[in-house]
Amino acid sequence: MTKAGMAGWRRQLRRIGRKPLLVVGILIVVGILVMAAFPKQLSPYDPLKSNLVHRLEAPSKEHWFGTDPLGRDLLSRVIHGSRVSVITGFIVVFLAAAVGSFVGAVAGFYGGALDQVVMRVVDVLIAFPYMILAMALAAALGPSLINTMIALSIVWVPRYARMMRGQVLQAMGSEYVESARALGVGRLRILVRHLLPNCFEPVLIKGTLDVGTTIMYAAALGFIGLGAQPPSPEWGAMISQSRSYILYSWWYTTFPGLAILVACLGFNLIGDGIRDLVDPRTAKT
Amino acid sequence: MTAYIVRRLLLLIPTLLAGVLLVFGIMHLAPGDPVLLLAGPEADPRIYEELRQEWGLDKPVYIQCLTYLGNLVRGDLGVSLVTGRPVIADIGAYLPATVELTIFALFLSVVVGVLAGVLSAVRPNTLVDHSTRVASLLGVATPVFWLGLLLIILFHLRLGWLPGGGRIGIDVPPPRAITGLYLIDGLVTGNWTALGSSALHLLMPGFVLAFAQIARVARITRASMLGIVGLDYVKAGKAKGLKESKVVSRYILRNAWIPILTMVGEVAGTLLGGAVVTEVVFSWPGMGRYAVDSIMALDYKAIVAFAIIATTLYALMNLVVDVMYAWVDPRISYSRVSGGAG
Repeated sequence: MTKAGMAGWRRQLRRIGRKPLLVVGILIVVGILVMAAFPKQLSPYDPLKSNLVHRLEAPSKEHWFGTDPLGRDLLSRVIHGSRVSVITGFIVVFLAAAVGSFVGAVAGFYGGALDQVVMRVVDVLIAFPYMILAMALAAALGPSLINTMIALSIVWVPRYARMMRGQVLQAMGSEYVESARALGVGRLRILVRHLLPNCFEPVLIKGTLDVGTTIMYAAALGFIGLGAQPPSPEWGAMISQSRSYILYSWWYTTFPGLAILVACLGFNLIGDGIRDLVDPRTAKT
Repeated sequence: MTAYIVRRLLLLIPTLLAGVLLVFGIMHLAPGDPVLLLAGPEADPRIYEELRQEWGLDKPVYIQCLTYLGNLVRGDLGVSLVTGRPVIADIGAYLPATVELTIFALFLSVVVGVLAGVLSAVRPNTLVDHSTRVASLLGVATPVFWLGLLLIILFHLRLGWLPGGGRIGIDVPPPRAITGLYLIDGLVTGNWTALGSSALHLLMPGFVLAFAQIARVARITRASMLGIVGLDYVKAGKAKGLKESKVVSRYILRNAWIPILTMVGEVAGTLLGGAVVTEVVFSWPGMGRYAVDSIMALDYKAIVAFAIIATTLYALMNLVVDVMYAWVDPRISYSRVSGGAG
């Protein structure tokens, strides 16, 4: 890396350092990623191993988050659940952003009847409350984690498509596109090499914010019974199972939910922070 | 204006048609078999056949779809596989509960959200501002179903202050049905017991459903107002010696309404989806729970009906928002060019 490059990096880091909320977000997300990467090493117990002697025990020195009705250690289950949630969040957003951006860019770039048809379909999909669409898709595909991911991706695709189309339409009037065209650059090459890289920034910001939201929706589907199936330690499914025991234990419900909240908060803080760095006008919000 | 509203309502028809086709497609993509779910896995194969014929599931998909659309035009939504009643009767029974819950939550979101946002914006970087910002960060990140369960544990199981589910006490007969909304019916008929009981029952689910939305409205209100606080006409108003409350309400808030309204439209859409989860948590006898039950049973008639209602409500709320733009900002007019500013 060149000296100038290093200096640029340092300046970026300093800018990040001046945003305490962004730093908090980064710390949270890094923590969650570490948990998701090394759940076995970090959890004190096996998340699937039941121990009926220690059923539904309140938080203690041995079990920081208490135990569930099968005597399984909740802390270990919450740690292992991070992997399910993180993977779901990233895969859904990646799929939706990739497919959605492609569809939106092509529709905006080529215009005409193709654009009309695609955007009408997008309108219909967006006019649907997304939780309901996700539920219908997940139920139709059959309750499983993979199907939850597919369902949530389909729900997000039209939102990225609409955004990317707007970006491309806006960028098409800019001078660099005009000059590329004047130089005789082919249409496909203009789209891929000139337009897409310049339109990518908002997608990245939206993507970061959406990882958190996706984690929440995946948990909601798990809660309804459409997501990951037991005994897999998914946060939403754990809360759903805890419903039968709320008379006897507060911890069984509390800790998995807290994990969802913290994860979601972390990604939101990063998304907000990046947006402020890129566009200082929104910083005061 | 009227022409604009009519055009928007007409545009709803193709959207609904596409929505029906979409749900129909999804449900027939399903590897699951509603008949199998209904009769159980161990029934006589002949029973499956009979059921299929009875429900018309033995015909090709496009025939089923055309039959459904034909019936739909005549206002016949079919019979629910889950309840065995006409879907339209189910809607009549469940929709008012959802409408009551959603309107209450929307009211809470807007009133509390705007109030918090305004306070936050006129006193930036004070305790009020900081706590509003922290609350709104947490609000957006809090899972609805989790918050609901925690509040039930605290206020129902531990403290016993509030009922833990349902629309009205089991020992309280609901008020005479006029609108189907218990609060309004109780008020109109002067049935104070029913009014009190249903108000208590509405409190927790309404708040839980509104929680995240309050945060979103507060955030956008604050941002929108801060964008206006420094403008010349606000300074002019202050320089004229107007009272601060007047500057805030007449000069700043009036001009900050447009982004807030946009957010309210979005919030309304989110509330419908959130109502599903909230209703499950609080055993609220509304469309959301009905939709979950129907979805689990792959009962396409009930799901399509729910989709139609949800989409219509969503579109209507957005229409109301668009019409209100013109009311809030007289520069926006829908009567001139087609397409307009909407």
